[in-house]
Amino acid sequence: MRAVHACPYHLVAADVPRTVKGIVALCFFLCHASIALGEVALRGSVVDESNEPISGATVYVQQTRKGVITNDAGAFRFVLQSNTYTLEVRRLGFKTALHTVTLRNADTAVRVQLQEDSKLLETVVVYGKTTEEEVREQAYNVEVVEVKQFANANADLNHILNKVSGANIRQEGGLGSDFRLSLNGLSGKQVRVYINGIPMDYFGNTLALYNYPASLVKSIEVYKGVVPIHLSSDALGGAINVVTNKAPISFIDASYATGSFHSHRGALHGQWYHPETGIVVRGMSFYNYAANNYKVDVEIPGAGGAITGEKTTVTRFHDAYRSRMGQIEIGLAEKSYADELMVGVLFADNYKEIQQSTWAGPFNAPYGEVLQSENNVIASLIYRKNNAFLDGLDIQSFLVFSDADKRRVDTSSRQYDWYGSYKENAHPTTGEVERKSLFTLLDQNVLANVGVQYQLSNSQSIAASIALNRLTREGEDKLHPRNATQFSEPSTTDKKVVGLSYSQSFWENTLKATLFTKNYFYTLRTLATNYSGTEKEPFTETKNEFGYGAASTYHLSPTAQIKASYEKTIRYPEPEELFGDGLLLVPNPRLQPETSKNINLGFRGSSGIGEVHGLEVEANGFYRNSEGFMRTVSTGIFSQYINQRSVRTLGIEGTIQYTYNKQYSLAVNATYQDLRNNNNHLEGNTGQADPFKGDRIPNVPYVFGNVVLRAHWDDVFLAGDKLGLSSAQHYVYKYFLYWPTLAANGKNIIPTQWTHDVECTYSASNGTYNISLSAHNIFDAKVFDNFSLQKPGRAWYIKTRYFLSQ
Amino acid sequence: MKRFYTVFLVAILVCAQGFISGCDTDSSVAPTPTGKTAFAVAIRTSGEEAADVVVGIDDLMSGEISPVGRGFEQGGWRYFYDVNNTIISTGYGAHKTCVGYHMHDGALVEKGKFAYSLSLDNFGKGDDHTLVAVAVPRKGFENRILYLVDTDKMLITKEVETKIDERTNDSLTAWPTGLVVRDGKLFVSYYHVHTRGDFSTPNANQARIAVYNYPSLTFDKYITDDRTSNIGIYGNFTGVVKTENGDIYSYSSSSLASGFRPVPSNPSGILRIKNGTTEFDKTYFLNFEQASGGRKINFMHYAGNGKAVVRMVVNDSELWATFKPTTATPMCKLAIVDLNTQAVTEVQGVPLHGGQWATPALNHNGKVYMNISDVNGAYIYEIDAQNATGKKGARVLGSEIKGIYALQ
Repeated sequence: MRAVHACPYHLVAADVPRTVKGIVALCFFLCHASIALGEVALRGSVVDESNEPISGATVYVQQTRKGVITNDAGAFRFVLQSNTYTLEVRRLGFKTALHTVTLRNADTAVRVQLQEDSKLLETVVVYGKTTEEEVREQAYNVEVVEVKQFANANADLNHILNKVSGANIRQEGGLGSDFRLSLNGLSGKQVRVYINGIPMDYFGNTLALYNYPASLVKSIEVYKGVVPIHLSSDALGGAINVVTNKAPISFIDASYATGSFHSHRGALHGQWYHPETGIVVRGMSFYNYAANNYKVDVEIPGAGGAITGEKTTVTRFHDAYRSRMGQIEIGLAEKSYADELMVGVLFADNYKEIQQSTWAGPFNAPYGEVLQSENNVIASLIYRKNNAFLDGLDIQSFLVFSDADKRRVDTSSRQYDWYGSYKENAHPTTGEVERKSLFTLLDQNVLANVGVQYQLSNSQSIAASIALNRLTREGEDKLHPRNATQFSEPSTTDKKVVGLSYSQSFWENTLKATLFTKNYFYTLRTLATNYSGTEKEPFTETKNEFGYGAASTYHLSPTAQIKASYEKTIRYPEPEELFGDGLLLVPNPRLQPETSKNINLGFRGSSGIGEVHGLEVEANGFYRNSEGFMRTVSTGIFSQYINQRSVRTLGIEGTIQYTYNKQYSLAVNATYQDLRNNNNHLEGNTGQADPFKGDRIPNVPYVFGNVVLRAHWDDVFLAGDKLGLSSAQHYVYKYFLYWPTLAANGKNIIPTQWTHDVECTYSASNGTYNISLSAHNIFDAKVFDNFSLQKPGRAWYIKTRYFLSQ
Repeated sequence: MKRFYTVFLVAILVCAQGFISGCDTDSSVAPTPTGKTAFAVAIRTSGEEAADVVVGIDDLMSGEISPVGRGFEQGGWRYFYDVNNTIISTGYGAHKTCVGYHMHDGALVEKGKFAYSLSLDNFGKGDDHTLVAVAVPRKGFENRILYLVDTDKMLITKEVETKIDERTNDSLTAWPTGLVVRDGKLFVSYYHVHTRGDFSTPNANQARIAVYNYPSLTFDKYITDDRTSNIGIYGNFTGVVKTENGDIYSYSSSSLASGFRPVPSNPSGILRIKNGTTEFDKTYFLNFEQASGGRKINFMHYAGNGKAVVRMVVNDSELWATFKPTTATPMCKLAIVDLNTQAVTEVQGVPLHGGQWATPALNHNGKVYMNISDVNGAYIYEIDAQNATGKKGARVLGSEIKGIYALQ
């Protein structure tokens, strides 16, 4: 048996990135070796008054003088001789609890509830950290959003991410409309999205972030530059990992919101956990619907097509969106052979009407019948075990099958106007968008991932991961010749990423460093075709690229740290970027992989956390030198990805948050990102110097930020109730659609946006019953994220939520 | 306590209002510099990025023409034409707007704009103030739309739906390639494309023109000729041209590189409709392939005095190959055709170059100004049609010049 180094007041900080969770778990596994005769396991969980798990709490057995720290599920475990013990449970901000337990000859489970301590604990010596805080302290430039705080608000993940420093979401319209997330200078697919570490690259629109209400999610990890190897996919830098609540407790969480534009959003999340057998049954579902019949200002041409500049306010009439998802997972938790072993199946679908082309000009007639829909089935197997075979050897793995059936329809011969009336048979053989299309596409995706990490010593660890991602895509289109040919045979995309990392800490963890390599293997097998679909030839591309990097952090003091990281990354073009979506995104089979060299520097510090005046500051600078940078450009109504061969990005973003008395807070964040064209000559035109060299990359926001004010009061009307008020403002400075220095007159501009959301939430019975009233864009500002695509004006929502846990 | 909440809420709102009033206002764009600007060009700025620019310039023959910091930004890829001293810029696909620019007080300014319901694909001059345009669906048996536009008011004055020439049994529809008005008749040259929308030309072995009455735009008759092939090419507006004396000449390409597949067996050539008649002149045929030693016409521009400048294809091996103004393998050459003597003379001083959509050519002071471009850059060339010589002029800092104009 190894020495018990996890003494009760031992500070458990993240030794190395990603091994954090492993170490937390390791600490309590190190407290025992194997269960000998007469020994039984004492399993337990620590929760707060609303039964939310408390991670980072110290659990100390007075009699044996052993101590462990709870993991992110609030769980802990000891192996002890049968006897009676007193557990002392401590956590900053809570009253210390003593809990007596008698162990007989069977494994025993306990549950310790801590009460919040409203007094400031000036004498506490424990410096516990939440899981979120531990992730933040990694050497990576990462921000962790604790989504729990938004659970009662009518917020989806896009709303929440849009308030993260360095992040900006460009939404084309209302709920369900396409969006593009940018993070520290990179955007779209350059930034990968994961759910519990599983890449969502090919999961389709139904599982896009806007579908997830906050109550389904525990936290969001936002990696703004270098991405740790366990999130293995080709990315140009940046990753978003959505973490759902996996605490081994039983709970039910139901919410429903309704409001403007016929919006209805429901979510049901529940889990049953049986501590004796370790059986977990988890269910998650959502339903979203919005008619999106908001008002927009359009110019309707007069007699002779006259355009006078006069705007008419009309209501969008073909923009409804609906998505549904149901997921059930069954498995075991906290067993000797598995910390988590779950099988799951997910069914989802969506339906989306398309009102306008992405690149609609201001005088464009709307579409009245174009739509798309999708059905998804996803099966998953997840296995996680710490101290497998050897002490200090942690394994995580998953296997996922995803099947997405997509359908796009453009078969109407009618010509609609903005009043919803139409001319019958205006174009009998073409559709509303272009050539008629009745397109079905089947995407089958297999994902497999195994990650292993081993703690060599207290200060050194190594990790390896291998990730496989295979997409098979096949489709048919009875009406559209290009689609019919393009998708007539299965296309496959195979991506493998092998990651290795070595981490070491120095000087009692004040300096931590990680070196890593990522080897990317990519094979694309598909067809290249022409506009008319009359030609097709096999198109195969096999590539193998090597990426590497390093991340380090130095703690100037317990509450201040600096970070620096570097990475050389690569991202391969996706099938959709190469071959279009069969509707508005047209193929460009000449797309090449994009590569980038990224440097990130960061500082984070705080003072007076938990005291009357609390201040947190975070600032990050980033530099990217990207070659073959992919971005979309318009070609008529269509858009297409191109390689902007060379882009140099410099940026800075930061957050300041001031908290008074833990009750009132003001948070301000701002981002400035400077993306510049670094091309020497025009694309495909080697003899012509690029007149726009040094120009800002067009159609990309470069100054944006948020101001968030919050306040809450406890025990306002009833004991255990809580009233919260918040005001959030989002700002995006105007930017040009085309090169800023191009021409001088008639410049196309996406104007400055400044929107204000306010929300009032009320919770009773310690968070069991919740109601919120919110107004988005309360001043009804006319805002655009994309050229001439107006977003919704003022909208009201009311949301109720019921949460009960055991 | 409740009063405190109220005060706090009000404080939040006041704070928010403060931020609103702090919003910046968009500064207005700088006006075009005034001064005498006789010429203007339309520039395609990059091979990939779809943003054209119309810019007034002083000199066609020297210096560099830059799209940076001056001129009018165009909302995407545009077709350009000119009538009535007005540059007509029409948007394609989603951008179904037409903007006119003209000279006013020595500066290029916007004249007006209008919207239309279907992308305009071909243009011609109705009279001194009238633009004729035709919109063409890309696929299927659909009506084409003929428009008349008052270029003083920049408004559509007439809109007529027509098939031009539809062959249901053969799955063929007409794609117009030139619009010429003479003596109350509108001559619409066209080529036949397959209705499946692949722009194949299974039945192109005849020259065809649809004659309409002008300005009523009622259909009059078809005229055909079997000595050569379908008239004109995709995306260019000069399938038919009119001379000073009212004769109309048409060119037939028969060129794979110009978009004909299968390639018609009849040779590339030039036909005539004499002034006062509405039939092809049986006594006139210029077999261009014979006259030029085996080359085919990609584009023809009437230069005056019976001379035409022809962009010919010297390597006809790849479909659509001429539609690459930034090509690395240029395959076009200029020649002068004497329409009367039928002599074809290669233009000296102009290198091999790439072909274009809406090939620009300006007649000014007895010379013709054209875009000559390839992967190494784009230049204006001055062509002397009498002597069959060319001279390199201004360089454009972009991928292609799409229009060259002399405006009064």
